[in-house]
Amino acid sequence: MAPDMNEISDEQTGARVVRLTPPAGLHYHQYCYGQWIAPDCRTLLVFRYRELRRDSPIDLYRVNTDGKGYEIVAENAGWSTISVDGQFVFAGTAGGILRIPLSGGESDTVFRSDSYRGMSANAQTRDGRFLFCHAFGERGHELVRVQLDTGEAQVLFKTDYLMHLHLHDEGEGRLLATVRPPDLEWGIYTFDLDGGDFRKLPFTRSTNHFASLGCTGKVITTVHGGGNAIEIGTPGGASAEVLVEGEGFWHPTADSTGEWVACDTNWPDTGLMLVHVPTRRYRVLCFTGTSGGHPQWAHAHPRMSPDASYVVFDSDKSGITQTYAVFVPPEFKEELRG
Amino acid sequence: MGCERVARTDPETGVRILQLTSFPITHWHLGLGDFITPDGERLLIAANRFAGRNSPRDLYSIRADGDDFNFLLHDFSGGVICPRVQWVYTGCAGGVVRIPIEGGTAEVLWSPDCYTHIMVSARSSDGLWLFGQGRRKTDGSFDIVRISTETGEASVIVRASYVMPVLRSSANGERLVASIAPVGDDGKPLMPWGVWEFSSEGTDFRLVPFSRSTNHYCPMGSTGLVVTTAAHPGNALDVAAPGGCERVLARGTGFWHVSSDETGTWLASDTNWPDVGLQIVNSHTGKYATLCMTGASGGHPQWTHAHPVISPDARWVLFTSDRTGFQHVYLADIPPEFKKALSAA
Repeated sequence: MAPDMNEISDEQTGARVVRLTPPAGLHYHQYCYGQWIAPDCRTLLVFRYRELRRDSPIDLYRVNTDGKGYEIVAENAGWSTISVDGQFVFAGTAGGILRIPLSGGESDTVFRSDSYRGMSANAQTRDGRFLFCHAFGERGHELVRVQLDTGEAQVLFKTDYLMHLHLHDEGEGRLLATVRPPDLEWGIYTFDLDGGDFRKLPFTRSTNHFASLGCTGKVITTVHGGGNAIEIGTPGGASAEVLVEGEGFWHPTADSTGEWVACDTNWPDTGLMLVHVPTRRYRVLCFTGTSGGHPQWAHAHPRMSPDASYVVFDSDKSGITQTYAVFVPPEFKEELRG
Repeated sequence: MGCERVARTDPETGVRILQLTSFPITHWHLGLGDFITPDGERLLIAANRFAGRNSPRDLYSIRADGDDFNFLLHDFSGGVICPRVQWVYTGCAGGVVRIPIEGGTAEVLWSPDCYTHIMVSARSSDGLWLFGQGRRKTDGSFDIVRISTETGEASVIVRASYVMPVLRSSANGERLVASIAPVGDDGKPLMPWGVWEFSSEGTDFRLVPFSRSTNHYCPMGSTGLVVTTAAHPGNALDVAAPGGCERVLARGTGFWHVSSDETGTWLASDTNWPDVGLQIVNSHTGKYATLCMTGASGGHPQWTHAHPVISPDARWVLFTSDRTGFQHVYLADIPPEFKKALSAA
């Protein structure tokens, strides 16, 4: 396919913004966390409605951060993960998990099951051994661990609620999700790779928008009810603390080191914020133009690249939601580091 | 289906606007007619099924706050909500069906074999009768039909070579208003084309004496009057009594499509050449003011027109706008202080 890119400078901040997706289709990325940006940070995954119709099938595409290399990866795909070596995409489908070369080509089946309505491939351990999948269907929600060298799959737990599952500690052996664990109350928890040792985050006013703070072991969340803050907490800790406050922070995301956070804002939308965690200073990175309405396709859902060089976001400013990347000017970082 | 609303505020007037639809396909409301519940809480909207000129059209119900966005029916024609709100009546496959307003199974109310489609646009005040226009398969002419909502019994009350959707006049009992060219059984004109008021039996025709109508008009609530916008560059709203006289109600801006509340006190009209915004008009004082800018591009296609419709209780105005590149349905609140200022003598 021909490259289709539209590069602008944000009118107020001057930051460079590249539209990554062709404007005729409705696109969105995989939200504020997950391993859908390649390890080299040059390629990422986006979804596209095959047609502009509410019941359209949704296909998975890859695209480079310069807007080139836009190619289909899988049809009818759900949440997907780029392998830790950057070579493959683990794509969730109704019948299981496919493994597809990121550069394109034939897929093979990693795990197959007809007992679920859908599956998503949420996290791969850094050693490459395990893939963690969220399976859902008539039995509710299940956390499935697939051992990639053998294809052996194991249901680690069943629950009536599992959401936002992703890798915690940048792969140091834990997972993070909103979940109602067996015999425990609903909440945001980290847990080990065997689906045990649940440690609850001490968030009392979370929007349920949260992310691992890189490799720090901590978790960040935005707060509801006009709290206008990002909070930071430690799994199993007694209380959370305010990281920054003063804007209507909405969906937070962090780089792999935990030094940088990005977060969109709403009520009012005062821009996509870049936050420096050590100094707790922040500034506007750009304006997304997202309408910020009720549908998910009206939310920016920023996702910071692991190397903190750019932030991916969605915007419906053109009337059809597209995925964009805003590149973080080095001088913004210098300013915030002080 | 969930909820697609997007809240915004008009930057010039500060009026709260709710975008009711936002999936990137073409949406519109049903225009004039009984497609809003009397309490202004629910309404009907339509959408192309997909982005394409040849797309089929689907019917939905939605609450005025954007909640309960429910799919009702594929391939519909017109739509009316019954006064007790539980049923929606619409044309489908050459007949008329009813569907629960929350969605569900369509039940056939009347299924003649002689029409390509029947557009249902009005009901009697008590909800016992529906009115619509069936297009004949044989020669493409129209039958204005009256259908019992209880029994499905139907009759042709007027035949026409041309008709715009039939509207209910809430004054004078059960009368109707339409821009129509009535013809006899032989197809020959019975009366000249014009905006006519007539009984629900298709008798007692009274001409609304508009001299410069854009053919954008509506019954003015319970007043018995009919209001129209004046052909460009008339820059006026004209009002007339059926069989009576015409006078200017308001002038000074390019009024385009007009709508009235149930009392006939409040009117809403978009503007064009130039677009100076969606106007709220007090029919008693003749005063008007801009409620908001619609952002509709105002071009040739119908999907670029705002087509404002004021709620029966004059709490809000519905309109469409292609400002995002796709036509969506919007709802603008009318602040009480706004009405107060326009009501002052």
